[in-house]
Amino acid sequence: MTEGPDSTGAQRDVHALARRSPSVTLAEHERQPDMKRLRAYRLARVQAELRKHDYAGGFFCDPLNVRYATGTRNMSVWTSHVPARYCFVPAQGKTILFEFRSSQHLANGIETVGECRPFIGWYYMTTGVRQAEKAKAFAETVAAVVREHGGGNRRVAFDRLDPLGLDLVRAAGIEVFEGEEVMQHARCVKSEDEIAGMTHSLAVCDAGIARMREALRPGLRENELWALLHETNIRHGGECIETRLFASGGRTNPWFQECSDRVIRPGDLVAFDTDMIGPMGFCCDISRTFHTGPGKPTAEQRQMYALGVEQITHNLGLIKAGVGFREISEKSFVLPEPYHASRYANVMHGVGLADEWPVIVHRSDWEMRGYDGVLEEGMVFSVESYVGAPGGSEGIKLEECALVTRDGYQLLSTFPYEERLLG
Amino acid sequence: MSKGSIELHGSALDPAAPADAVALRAYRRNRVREALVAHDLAAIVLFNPVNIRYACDARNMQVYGLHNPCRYVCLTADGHVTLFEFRNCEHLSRHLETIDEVRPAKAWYHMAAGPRGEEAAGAFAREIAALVRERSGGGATRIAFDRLDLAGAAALAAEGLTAVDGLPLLDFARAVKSPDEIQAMCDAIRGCEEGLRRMRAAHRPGITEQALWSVLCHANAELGGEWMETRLLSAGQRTNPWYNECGDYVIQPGDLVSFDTDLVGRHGYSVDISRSWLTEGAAATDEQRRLYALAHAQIHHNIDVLKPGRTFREIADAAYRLPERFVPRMNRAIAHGIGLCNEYPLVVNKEYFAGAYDGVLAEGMVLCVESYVGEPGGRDGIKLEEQVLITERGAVKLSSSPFEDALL
Repeated sequence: MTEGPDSTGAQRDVHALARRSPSVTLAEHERQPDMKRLRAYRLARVQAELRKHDYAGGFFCDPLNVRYATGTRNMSVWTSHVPARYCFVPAQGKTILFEFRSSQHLANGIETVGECRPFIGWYYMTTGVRQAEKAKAFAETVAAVVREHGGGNRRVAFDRLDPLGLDLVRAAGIEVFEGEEVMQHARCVKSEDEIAGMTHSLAVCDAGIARMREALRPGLRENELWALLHETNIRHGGECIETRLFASGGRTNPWFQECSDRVIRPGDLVAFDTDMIGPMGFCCDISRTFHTGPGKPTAEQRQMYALGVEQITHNLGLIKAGVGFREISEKSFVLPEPYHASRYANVMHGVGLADEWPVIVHRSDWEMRGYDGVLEEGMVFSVESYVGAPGGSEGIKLEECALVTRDGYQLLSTFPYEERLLG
Repeated sequence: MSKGSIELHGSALDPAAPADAVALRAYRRNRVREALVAHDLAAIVLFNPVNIRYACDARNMQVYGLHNPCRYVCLTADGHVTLFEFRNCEHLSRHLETIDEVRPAKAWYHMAAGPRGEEAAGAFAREIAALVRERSGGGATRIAFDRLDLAGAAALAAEGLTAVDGLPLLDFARAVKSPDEIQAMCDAIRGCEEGLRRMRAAHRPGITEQALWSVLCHANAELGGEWMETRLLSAGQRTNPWYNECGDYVIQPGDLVSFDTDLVGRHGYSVDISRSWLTEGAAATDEQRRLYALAHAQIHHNIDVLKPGRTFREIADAAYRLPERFVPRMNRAIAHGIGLCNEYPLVVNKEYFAGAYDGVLAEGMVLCVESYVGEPGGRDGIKLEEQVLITERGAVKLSSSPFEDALL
């Protein structure tokens, strides 16, 4: 539904797609994200991956994968750690949703789901001493479904299968393969409808950031400001926030300290990473750093901020369809010491329904953790920076969200940088 | 919150007093270690951030960690605790006396490792095998896991280790709470109840379900709570059947609003209580009052049935019987355990007992007692739920959020 990225060279508006974020209230007189088409696109992506590996199908249990493959959602956070629902995706045809017993109605009218059945859980809380019996019933169900839909093929992908179930499923004659790889590769390239949904979700995220920025003043607790993002997200139909990475003053260094009741002081830097699962389940993963007035930022604060902006700008410039992960890693910005030692864990990572494959690491980490691949048009990346000296008193965190295009990138996040910290 | 003290494990407990964090951690870590020894296991490796929290109290990007196995902790039978922490996050657990050693986690999930998953899983398994050998003096091979994905399972087998499902022993360990845990949980409940007061103040015709739910989410975050496990708030005819998530439905005069808090609050403890409220502007219908009275009677009857030493089957036999027309949509569970999240045990109604399991209620367990009353084809559904502590004398309510006078 969105038009293709502009390709007018130097005059390209890096925010063109973000500025076209859609209205999502039902309207018959406008072009809007087409949810049916979105679901069909996703299911086709999963099935293409399944066929590529010659799998009869896949059993998926991570709620992000169930959502991607079927378009259904149910208690997403809880089911992230309690395997209470599953879906089966055959290499062709409609899916079977094994839904939490009392929630069968939630898949009504979802056209990707051919059949909805109650899921017999085999996690300990629901099975108690009868775990082996329930796991066996699960394995038998798997075998029956594969017999019925596999056309004789017994190679099946699973995104999650703990040892008890793994042994029983194998004993039932199923060949088990890694399902997370299937799903991550399916999920990485976004459709027009997905990009439209992401821009809407990011609009909500930007609104939450704006509220935190407007409210920022000495005397507030970190938790009070962070709560504004939660409130904005939920009010606009968003879903949850994956982390609590909001810190002020000395708590910004080292990074990864969680939000607390620390009282924000004049002159403090305030840094955060939204990690927000917004409307339609789209992840908004952007970071910003603010300066708390009154007064001007220090020279050190400005210097760190300028380095962060330079790192992000440089690394965004490396994005283009067809470029390899390794090439990006090799050409990525190297922070001067002492900041390189405490650099962020990666240069950029995929983003969609959550942080996703691939992760592109810094060149100094390549040997240990790097892996290669190629950027494709339609992938979306979060481009990262953390600048804070080991043992330093503060740090800055910045992160932008960008779509890979034929000739470069489109920024999907629009929240501006801080002029006071740039000046 | 119940007034005054509660008697637990033979001594008085003031639910309003702050928990002793060091004692709380020592209790939990020791519960896990005792379970390891009792099951003759060499070690347990935990990936679920809720389980990591229980075993050593380390916390880091919890919701992210629920679906990305990006960090883990290994407890060996001799009591040694090694936290394998997300890269660059070693500083987060420096203050924790429960942790003997912090090392960087080997990330072998696909997003992080890509095509190098097997290589990373191999490094993971070799490191765990060496650690267990070192701590056990060699020979011990049975290791429990709360979650183990394919590449890790294969790599461990290659190291000659046997992976055992760790959830039975871990859930069992977690089920019985110490006085400090109860105090921490009561503090989490006070935070949630402040959120409910704010929600109540915002509840009026014209507000959307999402806007009303956002008040609780805001309060939880502002008061130092951690995350929301679900989005179960619905109004009007969206309350029946249950499990509709909050949406942009505009709440109308006379609508019931039903919700289930399902939040992880302060100190990481869960608060799982449910209420149904009547929206102002129209009097309650007879049907709404009938449903409410049934749900209210069901949970209070069932709270009285919960006594230490009773089996789940005895509880199911003695539980409240809803009229037939509500049975198709009633909660399967009479009650479920609660701690850092929903946990063992699950005590189910008689109608479903054939598919469930038996067990015994013990002093120190905390249960959420459930009711859902709504009939197929009906407009309204009532959801009520109370969080109670099992003491020697019976169940004591830990929450004091009021019930709805207009519906009683």
